[in-house]
Parts: sequence; C-alpha cells; structure tokens
Amino acid sequence: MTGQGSRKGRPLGWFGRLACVAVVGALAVAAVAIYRADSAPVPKAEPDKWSPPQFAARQSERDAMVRTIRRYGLSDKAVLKAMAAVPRHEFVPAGRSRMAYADTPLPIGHGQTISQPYMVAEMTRLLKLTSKSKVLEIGTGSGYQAAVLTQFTKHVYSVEIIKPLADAAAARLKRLGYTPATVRHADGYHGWKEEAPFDAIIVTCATGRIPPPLIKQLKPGGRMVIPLGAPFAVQSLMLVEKGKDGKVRSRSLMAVQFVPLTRQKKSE
Amino acid sequence: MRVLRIRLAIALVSMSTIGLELALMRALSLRFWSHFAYMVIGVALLGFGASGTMLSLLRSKILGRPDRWMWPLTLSFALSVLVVPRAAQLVPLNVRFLAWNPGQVVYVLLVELLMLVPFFLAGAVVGIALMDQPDRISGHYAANLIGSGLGAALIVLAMYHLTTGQLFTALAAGGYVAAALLVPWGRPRAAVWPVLAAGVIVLLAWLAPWEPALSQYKTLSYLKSFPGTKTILRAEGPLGRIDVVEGPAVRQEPALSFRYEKELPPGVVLVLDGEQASPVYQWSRAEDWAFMDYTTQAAAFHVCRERPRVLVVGAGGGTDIGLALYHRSAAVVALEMNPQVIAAMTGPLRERGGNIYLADSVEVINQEARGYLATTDRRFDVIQVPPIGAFGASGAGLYATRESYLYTVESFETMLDHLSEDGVLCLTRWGWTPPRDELRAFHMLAEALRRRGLGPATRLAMIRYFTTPNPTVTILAFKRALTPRQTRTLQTFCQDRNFGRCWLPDLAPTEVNEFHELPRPYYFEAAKELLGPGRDAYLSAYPFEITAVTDDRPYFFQTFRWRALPMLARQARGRGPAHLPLGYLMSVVAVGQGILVAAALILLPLLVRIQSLRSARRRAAVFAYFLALGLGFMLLEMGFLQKLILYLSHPIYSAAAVIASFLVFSGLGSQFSRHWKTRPKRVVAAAATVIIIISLAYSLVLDGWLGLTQAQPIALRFLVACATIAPLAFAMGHMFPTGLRQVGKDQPGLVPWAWAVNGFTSVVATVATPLLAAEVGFGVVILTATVCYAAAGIASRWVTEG
Repeated sequence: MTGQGSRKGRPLGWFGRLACVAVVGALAVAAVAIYRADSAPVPKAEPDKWSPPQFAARQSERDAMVRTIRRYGLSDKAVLKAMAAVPRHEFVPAGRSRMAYADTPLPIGHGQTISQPYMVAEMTRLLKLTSKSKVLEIGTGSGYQAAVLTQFTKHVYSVEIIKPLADAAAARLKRLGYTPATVRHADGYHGWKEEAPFDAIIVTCATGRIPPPLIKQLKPGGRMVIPLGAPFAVQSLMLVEKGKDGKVRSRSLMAVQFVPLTRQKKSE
Repeated sequence: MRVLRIRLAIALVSMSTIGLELALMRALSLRFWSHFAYMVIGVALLGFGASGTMLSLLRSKILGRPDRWMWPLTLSFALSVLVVPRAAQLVPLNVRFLAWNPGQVVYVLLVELLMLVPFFLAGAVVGIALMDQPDRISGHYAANLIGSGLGAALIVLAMYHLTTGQLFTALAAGGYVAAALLVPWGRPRAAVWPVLAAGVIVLLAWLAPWEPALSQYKTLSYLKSFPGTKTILRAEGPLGRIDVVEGPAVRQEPALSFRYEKELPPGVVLVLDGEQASPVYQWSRAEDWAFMDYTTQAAAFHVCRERPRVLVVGAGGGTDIGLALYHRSAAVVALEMNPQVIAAMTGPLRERGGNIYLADSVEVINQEARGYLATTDRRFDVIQVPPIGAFGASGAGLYATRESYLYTVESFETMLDHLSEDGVLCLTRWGWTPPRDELRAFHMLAEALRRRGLGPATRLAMIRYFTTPNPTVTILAFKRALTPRQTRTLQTFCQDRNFGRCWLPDLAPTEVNEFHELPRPYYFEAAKELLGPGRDAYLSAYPFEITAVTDDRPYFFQTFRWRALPMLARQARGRGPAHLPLGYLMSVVAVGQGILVAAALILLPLLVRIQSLRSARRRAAVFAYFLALGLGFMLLEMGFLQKLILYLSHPIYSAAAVIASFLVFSGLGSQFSRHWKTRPKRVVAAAATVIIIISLAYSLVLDGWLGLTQAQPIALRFLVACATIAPLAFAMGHMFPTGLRQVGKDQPGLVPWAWAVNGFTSVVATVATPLLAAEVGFGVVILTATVCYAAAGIASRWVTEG
C-alpha cells in the first residue's frame, strides 16, 4: 500500500532537520571551544578568584593517611585539611599508585622521591604560612609539595633543575588546577630573584652550604626548611630563621624521639 | 690431543669464572655502593653446588655422551657472561627503597638468581670433565687450579686497562675459545652455526661496548641530569671508576659557614664510583683557598704552630691541601690511595686543579694511611682526616658492612704517634641527629689517648657546623693538654663562623647548643659521659652502636643495634625505616635468601634419592663431617678476605689474593691427599691438627707477620699474602676429598648428599660471615672455624673407618 498511512520510513520533517543541524552545530562549537581552551595559555588565575580544586577520588585513603599523620602528633588543623585535600595519587608514577597513600616516600624517577606524607605535612607546618605568604620551593619533584602549599597561599614559586621533572610537574599542576603554583626549570641555587623576597623557602636538594642567594632572598622574619639526609633516608629537618635584624639562626628538628635503651640512674 | 684441548678449555673456563666474580664485584660496586663481595662469592658457590646436584641426578645421561653436553654448556657459559650483567641491570632493584618496601627482596633474589647462571654452567662443564675421565682427574684438576689462579691475578691487571663492560666481554671471549676447543671438529655439523653465531655476538659485544649503569640515586647520576653537564674525563681501575664532570649547575661545595658569602673559585667535580664527589678548584694563589678557612676542619690550623708540617689523609680533589697551603704550611704530605686519581690530577686535570698536586711544598704519595704511617718516622703538626664516604650514602647506612681500617682505635693510636709534641689530629665526620659515628669517633680518640697514657678530657675538642645540608663535626685530639690560649682561639674561631662548641676544657653547659639549636645538647652531654666513669653504661644505653672498633672488628660505619628496633618502631613516627642501615639490611636479606635458595637448589632436588639416605649407615657422622668442613672452610676464607684488606689496602686486591690462593693451594692439597702412604684416617687427623695449629697461631701472630712487609710494593705484598695462606689452604684441601673417597668406597649412595651438605653450608657461611664478623670480630670467626675443623676431625673417625 502506498500513500498516506504509517509514519514509518518517512524522512524527517523540517523541524527534525533543524534539530539535527542545531545539535551538530552545538557539538562543533563545543569541540572548537575545548580545543582552544586546551591549547590557549591558561591565564594565571587572579589570586582573589582562585580556590583549591576538590577531588573526591580516593578520599577515604587520604583521610586514613591524615589519621596516621595525626597519630604521629601533628595536630595543626589547617595542615591536616590541606593533606586531606590534595590527591597524592596524582603525583606518583602510575606503577606506584597503589602505594600513593602509604606512609612511605616513593620514587618518582630521575633519582628523586616524593616525600613521606608526614614529612610533607611537617615541613608545611614549620613554614607557618598565611594567605599572604610568598613561598619558594627549590626542588619541585612531582609538584606534590607545591600543591599542598597552594592550600595556604596563592603565591607559590617552585624551581626544578631536572627538565623532565620540571615539565611534568608544571603540566600536572596545571591539569589538576593548582594554577597558583608557578614552576620554573632553572638552577635553584640562584633562587628566584625576580619574585624575591620570600616569606618561606623549602630547599630539598642542596649540598655543601645553604646557597647564599637563598639566604639573601629570605625576608627578615622568614623561615627556611631543609630536609637532611639522602633520598628515602631523610632523618631530620633543619629550620633556618632570619630574624628581623637579619641574623640567621637555625635548629634541627628530629622526627624521631630517641630514648636510652635501658633505664639509667640519674647521677645527680 | 683431545685431553689437552679439554684441559685448556677447563683452564679457560676456570679463569673466566674467577674473573667473573671480581668483575661482578666491580659492577655491583658501581650500581649499589658496595662490592657485595660475599653475595658474589656465595652466589658462585651456589652455582657450583647446584651444578653438582644436577650432575649427580643426571649422571648416567651425561656420561653416556659427554661431548654432547660440554661444548653447548661452555658456549652457554660464554654467552651468559654477556647476557647476565645486562639482564641484572634491568631488574628494578632499588636498594635505597629496601627499608620502606620489603617487596624489594624479590628483586634481590632475582639479581642473585641471574648471577648464579654462569657459575652453574661453569661448574657443570668442569664437573662433567672430572666425572667423565676419572683416570685423568689429576690433570683436569690441575688445569682448573691453574686457570683459577691465573684468573684472579689477570683480572686485577686487566682492570687497569679495560672498563668494567670490556671486562665482561673479555671473560666471555675466554669462555668462547674454551667452547671452540671442545667442539668435536671431526663431526662438527651440529656445532658450526651456534659456535659461529656466538662468535659474532662476542665480537659485536666488543665493538659495541656496554657499561654497567649507575643507580639513579648516585651523585653522578644526579649531576648528569643538570642542564649543560659534561663529562670531561673518565678512568677506571681496580679501586674504582672516576668521572670528572663540569657544568654551569655542577657544584660540590664543602660544608662552608654561611658567613662566607663570596663566590668560590671555578671548578669541576671528581666523582669516585659515581658517589663520592670531590670538588677540584682552579686556584693560583694561596689566598684563593680562603673559603676553606670557613670549614670546621680549619680549626686545627688556628691552634697549631706557624708553618706547620701537615699530613692529609685522602688528597682527592685537593681541597684539604689547599687549606694547608692557605695557612702557609711548611710541608704537606697528601696520601691518595687511588692511582687513577693521582694520574688525573697530575695529568688531564693538572691545569683545572691549579697544579695542586705538584705545588711547592706538596708531596702526594700513592698509599693508604695505615701503610704509610707504618713505614715512616716523620712527625706532623697537623694530621687532617676529612670526612670519607659520601654524606648521603653514609647516612643511609650503605657503608654499614664495609670494613675500614682507617677508623679503628689502633689507627688513631698510630696517628697520635706521628704527631709532633704540639701536634693535633683533626678528624671530621658528617653530623647526624641524633649523633652516631661522630660520637663513636670522639669515643675512639679518647680511648686512643688513654692507651697512650694521655688524659683525654683536656686533650680533646669538638666543634660542629649544622647550618648546612651536610653537617660536619670536627674532633681535635692534641698530644699536649690544650692551653688556655688555644681554648680562647677556638672559641673565637667558632664565634666568627657560627660553629657550635661541643667540647672544650672547662666549657660550661650554657655555652653549648648555640647558633644551631639541637633538641638537646647531644654532643656536650655525650662527651661528658664518654669522658667520665659512667661511659660503659652510657654506651650500653645509647640507641646506636658507638663502642670503639678495633682492627679485629673494623666496622666503624655499623651503628645499628637490634635492640633499638622496638623503640624505632614505637617512636619513629613512621620514620623508622629511614634509620635502618641499608648495607646491613642487604646482608641480612642475602643470608636469608642464601639459606632458602641453597636449600632449594642443592638439597631439595636430592630428595628423589632419599632412599639411599635412609639405608645409609653412620649418616649423622658423614653429615656432621661435611657440614663442619663447609662451614670451617668458608669461615676461614671469608675471614682472611676481611683481614687482608688492611694489608693489601683494598677489598679487590684482597678478594683476588684470597680466592686465588685458597683455590690453588687447597686444590694442590686435594691432589696430594691421595699420595700419602698412610691410612685416610691418619691423613684427615693430621690435616685437621695442622689446620687447628696454624689457625690458632695466625690468630696470635698474623698481624705482626704481615706488618713486617707492610711497606713493600703491592705486588710483593700480594705474593706474601698468597704464601701466608698456602700452608693453611694446602692442609684444608686434604680433608674433603679424603673423606669423600672413603664415603664413595663404603657408601656411594651418600656421596651426592655429602657434596650437597658441604655446598649448602659453604653458601650459608659465605653470606653470613660479614654479619658475624661485624658482630663479634675476626678473632671469633677464626676461632669458630677452628672449632669446625676440630669437630670434623672428631667426626672423621666414623667417616674414614673402613
């Protein structure tokens, strides 16, 4: 039978055709927008308008990690909140992802490590950051420490001398939305003169002496934290403080409280 | 003719096998901070033992057509020498991560199993030759011994001319020639293509050299990752590989006070075995070394006489020579053990280093400190011992099982003896929180002074500098009590540089822990205790092992205490693994794995022959005999390996001398064992008696005996070491074959078990000896070995009964 009858097999009417064109057009516009957004330089978020990204994935593991840190005696709420917010698993190599929230440093390649979570928290706590603090990190590594620092201040500058690490960290921080952290591939010995002085500095890889440029770039009243020891064997932290008078004082902070193995009679 | 070819092949395989052991030690040292000599020797023994078990199980198959087995096994050996080091490098073993991730032990096992392959194959080749022609055993055995002895000597010589990668290729070539000799060229069809292909592979390996990779955590790897870093020199030798790098970001500054704000002279960095880095500065005037006056070790020059005579232990890149020149020293004697470093500093680096080795008043001597001081009467106003060992590796405990005869009480006594009356011994160590080996050094210097009848409390000073990523602690030991003027000078020296005072005569508690605050004034408190009457209790209670080490137990860097483990676990806030010494951990892992793998590869396969065991008589005595022999032999061999490091100055020389001598002379003993015209029982009893007498005698007089020739060139000392081992090894070589022959006559079913038990205990003893020596000292190791031979002597009564 032909002619009028069932609608089956009839081509789209004018409305349907219009709808198809509209959908295709919208898809095309969206594709172009995504492409342009990906390739266009991301403007540095205006400090006042940026807020830390949120990540739901593996939150329970992060909470467990924070409970471990708290058991070690670190009770600073702001630091614990920051540790709970930053997705450490995004900063470790894929092959180590399972161990991302374990209480251990992890290798990230090129002879570098991502520090044990407790050490990251402790170093962050020692810096005593405020929202106005300007902080310099020498040795970006994976970018994890830098991401944690952005939870406190939007003025984070990080230097990494190993190019593959610098590039990867920069891309990772951008992808995750930690745009207040600026990463530069350079020799950290010279600090970051253009942005100096800094309220706080973390130095994760130095030998011989604290680079004099870094001491110069530390503000009076500022704090510098340096972990001491080899990769995987950081045994203590050094805190360097520059007084208001410009004088430098330092002290060692151990993460281990050693006690004698046997009871000793007090001689006095 | 065929017999000659077989013997040549055996000699080549044996030479390549021993050479492979030493080459692997070099490769491991490059990759993992330590030569792991015991692991390599243990793996080699494991390979031989496993091949023995395999041959006993497949005996009838193999003896049917030995020609079919020998050349393919030899060819496989040659190829495995090329393949195994490369494959082992692919195993992602990260020693630094071991304490945090126990899963790394699987990778340790994998590396050991890979290393085992060439030794298994070599053991099978030699074993088949010995089994196939029992009437020609003497000649075959002699070929095995000669090859082994030559291998040990030649590989050390080869290390002066070939890189580590080239060594492996040369050893593979030796195996390849052996395989070619064993091919039945009368009927070569099956062999032609494999042999030709293998030849091409060996040739390609020579033309396209491979070098063992360094760990990515080594200093050199880190420096090379900086932009613009170039390697300007590389040289290799038995004592290590040196690389010299330069680049805009490459700097290796000494631990300078931050009060020194000026730029340092331009320089390059000399790195030994990829880790120990030493800056080489371009200088032209003594004033260019002013920056070195801002290190803690400069303190000695502020309290000694003017224009001092100086001895520097470890010239390295020349910074301590520069410090001495800055202070207008009248004469500087600088000791440098590594001839490659001297060649570099007086050759390609001469201008870069400002000719420091050739400066007026500087004399550089290629000798290690103990050897030099044993041969000179000179007196010095300053003896400077800078921190030896890289900071990071030291802190991670990677040197924990490394012997050091520089840091023993006897060594410090010798140094004190070579001070002038106003002289000062200046020893610097890395600083740790809490303190470890630096406190040990303080305690040992106090002990050395006491042994010389000098009160330490007024003759010691200790200062530290901690406002640096590489904290240093310098201890000064004076022949005479410090004068008030010297004390004031040191106070000013420290004040001007922000150095902390840890111990000075009459130092008040309020004067310590300044500039850089520690949680407690550890150093002052410790110094007070260690100089007081309660030091034994303090040493016992201290969380780290800091008791004095002596030549009998020269493990200065081993500061770990098992007793501290529960406290670490409880109190470390998760950081316990950071304090575990990795070198020690590796040894523990090696022992555990050695036991398991040896049991699996040597003992377990023999369960198919369990019936022969059940029906055997006197099996307890047989087991006891061969077990005691396996233990005793390796305890003595490993004990000598450690002991001779002092005499021969380096573990590689010691390993070469010990391995060669024990193999050759015990092999000769084995040959002679059947020629004595007396009953086997008497041969064994006599051999056991000789071994016990010589061992006990050596434990009393060996040091004195070797001291007579300490000053002689290394070649002569090498021969003296071999001659010293000869009579002992010769006697030791009698007991095993005599017992085995008797067992073979009376109860042949027990022979594979005897081999296996002996092989098993040899492996375990090899890997366990360093731990044992570190805990109880060489004297106890030698005594234990003597007891083992006594036990074997007693058990032989039942073994050698007809």
